[in-house]
Amino acid sequence: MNGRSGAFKFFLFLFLVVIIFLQFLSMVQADRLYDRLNTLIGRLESRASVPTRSTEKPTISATSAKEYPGNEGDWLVRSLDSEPATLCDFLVSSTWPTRYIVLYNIYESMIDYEPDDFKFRGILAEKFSISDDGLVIYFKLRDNIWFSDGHPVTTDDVIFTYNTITDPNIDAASLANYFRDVDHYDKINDKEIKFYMKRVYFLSLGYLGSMTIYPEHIYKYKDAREFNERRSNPVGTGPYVFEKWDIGRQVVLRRNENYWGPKPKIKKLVFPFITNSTAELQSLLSGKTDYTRPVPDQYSEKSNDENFKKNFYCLSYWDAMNTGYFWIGWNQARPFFADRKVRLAMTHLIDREAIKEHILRNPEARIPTGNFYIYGLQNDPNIKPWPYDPEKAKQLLDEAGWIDHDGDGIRDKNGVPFRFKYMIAADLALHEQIAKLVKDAAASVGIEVILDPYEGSVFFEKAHNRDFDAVSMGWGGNVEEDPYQIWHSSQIGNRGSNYVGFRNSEADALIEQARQTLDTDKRNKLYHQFHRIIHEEQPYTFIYTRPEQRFLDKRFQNVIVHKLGIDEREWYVPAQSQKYK
Amino acid sequence: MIPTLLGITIVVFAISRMAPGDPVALSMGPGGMMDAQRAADVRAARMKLYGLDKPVYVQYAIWLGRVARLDFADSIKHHRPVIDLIKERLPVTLTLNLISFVIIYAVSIPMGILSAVGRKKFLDRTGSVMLLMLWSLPSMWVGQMLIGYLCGPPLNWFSPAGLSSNEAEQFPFFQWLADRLWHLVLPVFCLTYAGLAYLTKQVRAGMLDNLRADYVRTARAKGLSNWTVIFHHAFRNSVIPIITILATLLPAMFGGSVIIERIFSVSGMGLLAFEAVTTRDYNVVMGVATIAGVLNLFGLLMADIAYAMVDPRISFESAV
Amino acid sequence: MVENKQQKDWGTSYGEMVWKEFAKSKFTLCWLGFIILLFLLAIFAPFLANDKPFVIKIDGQLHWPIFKALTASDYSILLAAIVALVQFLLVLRNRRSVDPSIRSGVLWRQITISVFIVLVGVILLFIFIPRRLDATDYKSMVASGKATGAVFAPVPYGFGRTDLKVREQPPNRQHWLGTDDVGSDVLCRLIHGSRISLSVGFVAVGISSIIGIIIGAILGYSGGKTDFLGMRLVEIMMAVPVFFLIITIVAFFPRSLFNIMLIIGLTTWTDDARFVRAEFFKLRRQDFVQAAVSLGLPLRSILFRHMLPNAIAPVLVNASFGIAGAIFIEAALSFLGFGVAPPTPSWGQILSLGVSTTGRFLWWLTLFPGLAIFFTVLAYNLVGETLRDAIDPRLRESV
Repeated sequence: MNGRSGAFKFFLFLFLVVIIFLQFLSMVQADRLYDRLNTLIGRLESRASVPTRSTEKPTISATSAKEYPGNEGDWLVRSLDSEPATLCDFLVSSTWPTRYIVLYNIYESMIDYEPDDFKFRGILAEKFSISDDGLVIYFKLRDNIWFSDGHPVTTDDVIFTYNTITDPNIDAASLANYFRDVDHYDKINDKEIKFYMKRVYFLSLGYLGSMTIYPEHIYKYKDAREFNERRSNPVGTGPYVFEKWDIGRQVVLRRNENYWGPKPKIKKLVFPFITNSTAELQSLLSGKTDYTRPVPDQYSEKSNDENFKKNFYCLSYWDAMNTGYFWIGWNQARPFFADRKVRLAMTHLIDREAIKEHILRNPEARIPTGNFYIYGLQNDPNIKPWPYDPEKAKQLLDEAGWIDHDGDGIRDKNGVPFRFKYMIAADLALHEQIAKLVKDAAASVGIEVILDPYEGSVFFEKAHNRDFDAVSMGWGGNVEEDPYQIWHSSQIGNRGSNYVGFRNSEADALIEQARQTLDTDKRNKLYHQFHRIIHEEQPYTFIYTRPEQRFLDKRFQNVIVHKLGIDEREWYVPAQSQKYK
Repeated sequence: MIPTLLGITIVVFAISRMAPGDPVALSMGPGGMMDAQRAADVRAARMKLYGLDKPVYVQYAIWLGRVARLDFADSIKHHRPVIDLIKERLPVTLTLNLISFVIIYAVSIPMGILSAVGRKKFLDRTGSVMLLMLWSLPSMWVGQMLIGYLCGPPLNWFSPAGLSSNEAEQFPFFQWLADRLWHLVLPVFCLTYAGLAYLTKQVRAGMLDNLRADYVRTARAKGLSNWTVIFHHAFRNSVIPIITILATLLPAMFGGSVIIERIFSVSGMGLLAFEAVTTRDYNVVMGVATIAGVLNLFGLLMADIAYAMVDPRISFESAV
Repeated sequence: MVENKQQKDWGTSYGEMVWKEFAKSKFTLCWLGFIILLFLLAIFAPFLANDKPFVIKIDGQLHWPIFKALTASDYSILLAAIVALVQFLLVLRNRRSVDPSIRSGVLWRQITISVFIVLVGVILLFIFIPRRLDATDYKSMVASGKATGAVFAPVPYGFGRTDLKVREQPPNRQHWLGTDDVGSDVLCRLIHGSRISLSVGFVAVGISSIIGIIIGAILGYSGGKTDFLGMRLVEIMMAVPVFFLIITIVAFFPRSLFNIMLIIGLTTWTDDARFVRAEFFKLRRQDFVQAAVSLGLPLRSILFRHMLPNAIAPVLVNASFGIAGAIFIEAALSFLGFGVAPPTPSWGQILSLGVSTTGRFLWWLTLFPGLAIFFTVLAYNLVGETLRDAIDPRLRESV
């Protein structure tokens, strides 16, 4: 008896100790395995990037930037709040971390926006044009451009890129959407190509020109799955090459010593993944990372902290290619919001300045009046937002026939009480705070709002099916955009993006006409008219649009805020302050 | 055991499929740049790609077939094999839980015995109430307070997030181990204190029960030393409830660790499962449920074996 | 005189014995008092914390804003409280004047009638009391002199009212426990949040107990194949990770308090089922059960009138711990963002705001709801523990 119980306990204890030890060993082993794997891949990669052609200095043509100033060296460590699923920016599963890592660092496109003007400039393309009738788009690639392995860039690569994106078996459906209007292409020679379009569309040049060019000799595939499953080791023409991806931890890029253009001064880009925003800030403060995208509350707190500003830049800039807006949509299929007066009343009801000041805590945020980028040319700067005016709201509601007939404190009309469900995405603090504010404000004029939080996938399903009374969401934006998908009456229902059911024949006509107008000034005049209609009709209440915010270690110099954003490739660190070798 | 496992998978599968929303809707997001027809086509294509367009029972049969070959398919959100995700996260959760386990058992058994044996009335009562207090502390509160006070500016004793410092992989082994352990202190503490209190009370209750029994009086009367009486008689008879708890503590820890993992930003199985459920990542949900079910049943099996070893009556009865 | 003699002959009933044992611990009695205090807080919440005044004089006319704005659920809670009080007084009266042999029958009848009254009353209240909305800013009316003679509640804030200018403020003279992320008063939200916590505890445990009892009774009584299959089902239920089940099910339904209570109840019945099953196994072989069976009584009657009263003790004890557990689960769900829809206050939800994204520790949003949860759960655990000791015959001193 004695021996048995003693033996049992000893056995149990030993068993547990062994399991724990095995756990530690396996964790260590896993870490080391990934390290070994990644260095292996890195070695293969470096072997591949030995150039097979002579490394002549590339001719820097007039439209490309001059040689970057400053000392060479150092790394830029930028924390990302989520890990990309893939580093191939075509695939549907690519998210903004993907694009942030690879766009302009590893891959480049034929054209891009000027940093200080709303015009295109050629990157890989030397010449580009669109015919007067808008149906022929022409690109001429530069001479003396090559991929990071030395292979020259030709129109075959452009064609390969285009064909890959539009291949229905490639998981790139959302990107292929942009090339629906291409009828066929015509390769003139190794450097020149023409695309023939089915119809005129003012964005076609931009779409085609911003394809990131993939090297055919590396990515060519027999089976589409080969391409779809290739998540890593991206190879492109850009100033950086891929070094390694420690799954779950970071992605590292190093400078392309073979780059055809002016090489950036920063030698390595490191992207660690830190999901917790508090941890991200701590990482920055302790010097482990150099560059982060703070949460708005963090920015507003730190930008008033003198100590912080001694060591870090608090950058706030308008990123013209990515600035969106937050809005509340009123479903016009519901009895409450079919009347314009009611929608206008809701807008007057919400104190957007207070939101800007107290919830966003960002004095540089703006209240948008329409859907276009607020500093872009499509936006009419003379339209001012409706003011916060609860009295006016009450008056408008009275005029619309919503009066409290039965004395219960809630307005009603035709027996229907003004009580609606406001759908928000669960677990997003900002949405919730604004929603609570709206509920409180609406109560003071006799409208009962019921908050209806849903988690992500259910939320989108309901939005697509127009199963909501009011919804709050954000749209992304671009320098120039086409309001068709969101505002045209044909896009109501059937999973179209016109969730609120905005139907206005004048707006429809303007959208259709503008799409085909290639003359920028004429087109923007049409959009100004469209903007005015949106402002009068208030299908959405636009809540805010705000600049991008970043924290950056002050050792980086030449940090310039351009009209369209910032360009990290311009930065350098003076030799004496460099941190990493 | 297999039928139970099957039953678990069926229940989890049914419920996760019946819930509204699906991973394709989530990844396609609000749309915006695609027109209606296009969006519908893309969605249909993606549903087909993931096999989500087939009827539910067919999907289950397919899944079952794959699992039989130990193929858990790919995560729809991460686009990586579910097995890889689990392999990364399971060691973390297991480490946390096993360390807590060991601490709980190593500390509460002696504590329980001591508190049962040292029978001053007042100490007895206060001890019991203190344990109950420990048990009543909500873990998210404790975690947040610890982070707030111990990880913030004035003290900075611990790091508020993660299991390793950023450059950890560059450390030599022992420094890495020390760094790991240092990061583990707070999460393990939060996981441990509740189980500690509970088990101590159980041990104490069991010991009290047995110490009052006749055979203990007999043993004392026979002149056996206190030590022998307590350990070789009373304690061994109160081991059974402790073993039962072993079987239930393991699954409870898995569930409870979601909150701890969220608060301390530890990427373990709890967070993985939580994210999978909220993003409707069906393959991961099923993978995690299966693993959790297997571990639970493993715990029950261990408990059964332990019973048989500890209590000779049990094996006799089954022989008869 | 005759009654007095009868009382003495009646001796002490089971309930009285348990109560005497229970009352021996003054410490636990204090905590029981705390629970009762919590109940009072929950019942009278709209009178304790409200941004409308009790009475106010506008243009010479007296108005009673709080009373006008009471909702159907407020009235239901008041009704339930009154009925519970009446029932309690009846129990005391039973002790004095009803013969013990028929006492339990009388008690069951009384309880059934009370429950019936409450249910019917609640349904009627919800049908007939209209939903009112009154967002008049009474405080500014008083400040501007338009109204006089206003008597406000002790905590003069509404739990849904936002005030962006005082966001995230630590405790001060205007807001005794500080404000949360949209400027709502924390004390007010704590008081109203007690309703959520307490009701979740009771309803969830009620549901889980009923399910557990029914299943446990059937399994324990039948034995054999039914028991074997049934236990497999129970094992499956136990092995499925409950928390994830809850999160998945929460996605089905719109966020409402009742749904959450239902879900917690539906997923935590396994313990009760096992206890009842174990007890029924033991009772099955006893004489009185055999007698009832041989008399040909219907199964329903055997299970619930004869066997169940003997098996109910562990269920009662577990109920107390179950309430504590349900409060924990609800707080955890709200903490993770899956609880009731905003702006309904819940202690777990306030707790989740405790650490801001900047890492700033908003201690008042962590300490106070944490303490609230802690004390409530502690109270129920203590009561449960003492109850278990009181029921345990071995710990009882001889009468």
